[in-house]
Amino acid sequence: MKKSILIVYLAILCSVLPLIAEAVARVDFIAAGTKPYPYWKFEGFRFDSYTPSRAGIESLLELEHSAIQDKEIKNSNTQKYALIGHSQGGLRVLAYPAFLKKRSESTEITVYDKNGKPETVSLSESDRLRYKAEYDNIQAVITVSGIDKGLKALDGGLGRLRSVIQNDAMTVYLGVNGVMRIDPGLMVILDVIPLTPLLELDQTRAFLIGLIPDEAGGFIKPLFYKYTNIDDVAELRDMTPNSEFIRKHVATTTDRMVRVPIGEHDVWHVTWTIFGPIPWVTREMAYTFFTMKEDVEVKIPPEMPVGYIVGRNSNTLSMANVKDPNNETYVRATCFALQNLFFAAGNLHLAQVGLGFGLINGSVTSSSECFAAATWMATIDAQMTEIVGSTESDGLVAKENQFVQKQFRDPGTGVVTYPHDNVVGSDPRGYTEFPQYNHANIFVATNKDVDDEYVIMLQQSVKQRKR
Amino acid sequence: MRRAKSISLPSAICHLPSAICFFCLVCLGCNTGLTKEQPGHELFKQNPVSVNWDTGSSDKIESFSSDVEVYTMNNRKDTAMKLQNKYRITTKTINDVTYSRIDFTSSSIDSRMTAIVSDGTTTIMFDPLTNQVQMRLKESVPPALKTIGSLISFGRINLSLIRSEAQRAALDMSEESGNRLVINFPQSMLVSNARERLQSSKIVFDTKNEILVESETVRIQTDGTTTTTTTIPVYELVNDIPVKVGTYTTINTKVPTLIEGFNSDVKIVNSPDELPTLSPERAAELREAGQLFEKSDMVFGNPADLSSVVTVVEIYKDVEINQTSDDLFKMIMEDVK
Repeated sequence: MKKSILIVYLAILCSVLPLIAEAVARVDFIAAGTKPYPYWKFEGFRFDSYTPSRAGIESLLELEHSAIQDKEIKNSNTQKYALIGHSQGGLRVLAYPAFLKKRSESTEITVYDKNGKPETVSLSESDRLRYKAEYDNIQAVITVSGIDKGLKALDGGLGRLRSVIQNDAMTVYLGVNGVMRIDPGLMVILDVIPLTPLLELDQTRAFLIGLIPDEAGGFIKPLFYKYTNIDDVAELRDMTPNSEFIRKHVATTTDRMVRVPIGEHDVWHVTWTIFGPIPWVTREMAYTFFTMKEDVEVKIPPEMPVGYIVGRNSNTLSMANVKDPNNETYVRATCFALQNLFFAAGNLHLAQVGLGFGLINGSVTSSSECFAAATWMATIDAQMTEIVGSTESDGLVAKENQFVQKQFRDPGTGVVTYPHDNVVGSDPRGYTEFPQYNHANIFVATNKDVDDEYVIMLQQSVKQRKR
Repeated sequence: MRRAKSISLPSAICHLPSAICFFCLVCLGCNTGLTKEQPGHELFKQNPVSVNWDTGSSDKIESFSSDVEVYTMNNRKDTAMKLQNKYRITTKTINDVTYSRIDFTSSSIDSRMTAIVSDGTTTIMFDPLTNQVQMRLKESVPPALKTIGSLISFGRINLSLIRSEAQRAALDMSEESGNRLVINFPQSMLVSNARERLQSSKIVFDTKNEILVESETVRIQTDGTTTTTTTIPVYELVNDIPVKVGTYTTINTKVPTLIEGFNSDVKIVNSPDELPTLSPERAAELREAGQLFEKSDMVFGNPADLSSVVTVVEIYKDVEINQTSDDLFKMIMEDVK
């Protein structure tokens, strides 16, 4: 339990504001080895140590394009290669072909420097040919747990994530206050961390953010402090679903929310009349809610084969184990201890309600708030899922955002369209799932099964790449 | 001892099947009197309350014991009530002291906290199997609050005693139309700290039927968030005596500020009825095809506004009246001695 205490305090201390930084290329050339082609590896976004920057993903592409060009010029290399990108690197490799192709066809373009500053420049014929040559050298694109269509946690802007976490913080904060009102000595009895640091809402929020593994939640801290302008966190801005960057280089996605009935239930109501409050009940349908996605205006060039490797271990907390195999256990133990504490406090308030005076002194509210906080702790996985924004994910990126649809069947008319069907991989659905891997461990060299899928995808690209 | 027949009540203490019934009731000009003709609450029809009253001992409720199921629903997130908690509550008045005991039934919690017993001054948390005490805590409740609280029973209330105690404590007491007696409690009696202030608290009695009909507290936090909690007990008639069989509570939280940073095109859904419906079969097909994905963060209303109304419904089951042995409170009675 002591280690969990450490985690909590580190989480609170870690709310130090970073400085604005310049963009740095995150690519590496990997020789073919046993694969049909060598490839450029595009690393992901640094969730664990994000430094806010006004340089967006477009700036990164400029830098990465330069790095690739430098190597090609140095080696007079005209060898075909693939692009394999993980996480935000998936989004960048997916955007890269459209980025190059557009330049090979333009006389004037906007370039972004490493601080994100745009500048309009003219392109000569030789420039365009250089872009075309580089485009032609790309054999295929593979995204691995890619934030291909954005990070669903940011859907609707930074406000969505702030809202979810602020709501969670309020739930826990009110539970903490419920404990303090009944008896702080409960913490000693139940061996729970001292809650005194959580008596302020922003400290509770920092504590909850600290429960999220850094590999998934490190970027959240700046959102609640100094950097309220989305352009100050430009990479996050570009990772917002349907961001300008994604619409420009990948696709536009339309969302339609629908409901699916799951059965009837009672809903209680009370109406106030001159005769007093009257409780009554209605039978109403309960629903689960879904989003129907349709990818339209796909910008990935149709001649470019794309493979999507989709991580499906949705246990967000397990991502913490990449650094220390016991981290998840510590977080769960902390949550369990807090669950018991809030539960005990809730019941102590209930005892006061049972004695009558609890109806007068606020114990009705406090018991409910303590139970809500206990439920939050007991359902930590569901809380992480809510932050991620999807029940199907790799612990960070929603499944549906890890690939561009190969086909779409209109549920009304049954008409099938093919947004981008030049897809490679062993699964005919257009994406290959790996249920055992989360976002943090899917892109390591020792994953032979993922490596084998790269080979299959690259072999298929031989026939599917059109030039 | 015999099993008593339970009958639903109308108006302030009734459970009506629908809004239509409610309006019919209003049109017919019903009052808060007890009748035996209204249909039972549907929730209780599905979960009938069995009330066992040892009428051989007393026609007053001296002890009350019941299993309680607690359901909650948040108007911003839920479309159904969820079972949140289960416990057994027992209260008994012995030699003018009211005792309360809570036994937990959940198996997922820490085994050290399976029962709580309290007399309003001392509370003991213990393991009922071994009687090992885990914790003792002292309550610092204002005497008037404790006394009036002890008079709020699970059925008919001695209002004359309530009035005299309220007068003795110089509480703000008013008789209102509709046979309502309202007692307001001063802030000096209510708990406040640096983070929150209990702004007001009142209890409302039906003087005709001699029952508690409502309690309300208003709490304000330092950031301006206001929480109004209203609890309405629900009763049934047993041998012509009202017996509490549940409560209906709303916790209305108003957060004064909005969360910033939402895109201007965020879709706001105020009600599930605004969304098209897919059959479960069609939904399964589309999910399999990778077109449909569960939305784990559904919020009704403006997502930037964190205000909410949480409804908490307590349903009593297997109510036992005047059947509780003093032994259940032996631990605290001996402890106090």
